[in-house]
Amino acid sequence: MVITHNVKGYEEFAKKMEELETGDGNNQVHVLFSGGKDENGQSWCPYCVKAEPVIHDALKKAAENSHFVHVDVGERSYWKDLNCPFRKDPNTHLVFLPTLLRWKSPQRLDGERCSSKDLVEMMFEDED
Amino acid sequence: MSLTLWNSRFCVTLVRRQHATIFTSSASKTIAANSLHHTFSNNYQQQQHRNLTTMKPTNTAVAEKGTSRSSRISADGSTSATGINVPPFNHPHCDRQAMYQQPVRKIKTLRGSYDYDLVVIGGGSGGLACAKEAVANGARVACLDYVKPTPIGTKWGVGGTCVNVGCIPKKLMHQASLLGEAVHEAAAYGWNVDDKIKPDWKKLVSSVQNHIKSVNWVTRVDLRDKKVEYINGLGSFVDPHTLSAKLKNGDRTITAQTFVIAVGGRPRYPNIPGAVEYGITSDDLFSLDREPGKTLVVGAGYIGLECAGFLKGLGYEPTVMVRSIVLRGFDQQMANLVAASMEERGIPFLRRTVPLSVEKQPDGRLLVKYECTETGEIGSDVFDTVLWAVGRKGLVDDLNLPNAGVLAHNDKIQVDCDEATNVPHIYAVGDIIHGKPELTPVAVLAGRLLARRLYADSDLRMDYADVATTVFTPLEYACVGLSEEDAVKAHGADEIEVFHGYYKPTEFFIPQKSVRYCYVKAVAQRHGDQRVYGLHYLGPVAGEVIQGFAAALKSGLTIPTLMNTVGIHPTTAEEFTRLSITKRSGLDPTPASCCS
Repeated sequence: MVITHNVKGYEEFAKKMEELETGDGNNQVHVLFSGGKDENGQSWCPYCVKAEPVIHDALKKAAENSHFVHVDVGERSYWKDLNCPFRKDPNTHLVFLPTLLRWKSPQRLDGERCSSKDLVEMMFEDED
Repeated sequence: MSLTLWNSRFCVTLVRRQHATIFTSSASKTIAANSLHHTFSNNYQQQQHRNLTTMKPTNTAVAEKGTSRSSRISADGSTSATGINVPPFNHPHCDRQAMYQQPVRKIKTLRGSYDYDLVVIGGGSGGLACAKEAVANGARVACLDYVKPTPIGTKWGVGGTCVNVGCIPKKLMHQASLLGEAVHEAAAYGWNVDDKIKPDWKKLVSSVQNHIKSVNWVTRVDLRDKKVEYINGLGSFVDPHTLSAKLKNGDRTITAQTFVIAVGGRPRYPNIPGAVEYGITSDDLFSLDREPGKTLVVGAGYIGLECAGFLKGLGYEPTVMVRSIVLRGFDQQMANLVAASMEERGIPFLRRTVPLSVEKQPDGRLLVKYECTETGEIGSDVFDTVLWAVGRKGLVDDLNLPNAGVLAHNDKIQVDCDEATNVPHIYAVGDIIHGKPELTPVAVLAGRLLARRLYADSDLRMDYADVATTVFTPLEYACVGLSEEDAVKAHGADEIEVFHGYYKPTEFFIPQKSVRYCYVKAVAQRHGDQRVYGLHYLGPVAGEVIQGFAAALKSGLTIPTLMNTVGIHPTTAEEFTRLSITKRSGLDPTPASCCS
């Protein structure tokens, strides 16, 4: 069973990743970065809205005991700031939302590709 | 049949009327929309044909050049072919006139009874380009890729030699080496740098490998995205339309209408004791899990020289062993300048020397015995690493070519000007083909053009002449067109003028870098238009300098045009616009002062 974690903002994200790395360093960690949601649960980022159901559906293809961290990056203005810590972190180097990646691995999908079932499944199933 | 007739009638209309009229014409709007593309492309082709035919007579220089070069090449080919049990297979490879006179062969049975329209064997630069382009033009395509591990167990992912064990890691390590050099120069430019900088091999390897792995991933995403079926398996022919793919979990039989062989090549090992057990090749170097240390690089082709160059720059001690000549196939004056510039940097060259054996000593280091072929003198030395760079071998063996009836030419496959082998529906592109430049962009373009001819009504063929390339030695060498000796062979020494000059890059003065080998030359027609046959450049950022000149050369560059081109000052590329001294004049080609 894939273990899902939901975090909000950079600090929570950084803390969660550290916790996963020290606590469970051997299992795969997939991270989805998407734009924050308003009170109606609607994200300001249209591709994130499109990608979310596809990714959640494909999660069943991910490895047993792997982790899935859904990161709410925050509001649009915070993300659009070029000094946003998500953009600066050498482990994320985020340029697009949404981005789905395997933590500290080459596997990475961004933008519209995150809503392609085929590609998302390919990432979760990838054994390299 | 009726469609064709209708199309041709439509063509006539198109010529007589304005486009707008056609778009708004009320009659059978949908049919028009469907066939418009065809009509336009037919028209476009006719236009292209016209362009080609009109181009020929006015461009006699090109035609002449092509003809004489191709006769030289076929002469070479027949010499090397002696003693090989292959019937003569003469095609007008580089003869542009003959090439364009032949009709492009069309086999376009899409949606046949085969599993695929096209199976590409090999997922390197050429194969991937071909597969993607074929899919984009409506073909059902599978691409096979498989990497056999090296003797020490190195293996890699999709993308072929260039991405994994060739151009990309080579360029990155070259860059690492140049950066080390730059740090030393920085001090002269006023930077306070700790002069005890030291490379971290493991960090470098991991950075390089991380980059490669992300390229592998992007490649796989791209294939999936473009609907190319990627099969991680080793293909071998069962019959001319059937392939057996050896997969991780068993075999799979695949049939296809058309095949493209793009399996590329791998480094050779010399046939001496210890070569395979203790030596490595460029396949292993870029992911080597230990520092290379004192390294013997056997072979002075571009791969050997580039590896020796960046190893030196990273602070290791490479020695280059040369059997006969340096950079075979390149302009030999330039080749010798490259070697001399490396020797000046402290890389020893063991000339006219061949290795005899490699033994592992109790301390783990490697004892290499070698012989000077001139004197017969035997020598030996101890190294940490022995790197074989003695040439590359085409991967024909696993293909089971006889089952398909495809003839191999030693370890390569000969193709005609359509990249077809002797079996009409089996093509080959990239390093596996005989007698063509083994370069990624050549394979990419050849593969793409082939797919367009097969599936997109294109007539355009690959032109293998005047392809620019660069040798990424510490002082880089780039060239396009003919070497001086090839120009002399093709046109005669009396018909060739060589313009040359040494130069001093502005940025070399402050750190007092050696300018001794910064040199450019243009090999040109002596009389008439003074067409430029070849350009050669030794100096910094050589590839960046020569790429644009390659386009100029392909457009028929002449010496007067070059002389009338205003340079960008201060650059090194501008030296090509300042060439005024001919070799024939005997004048001193060493530089005048700046801006004079």
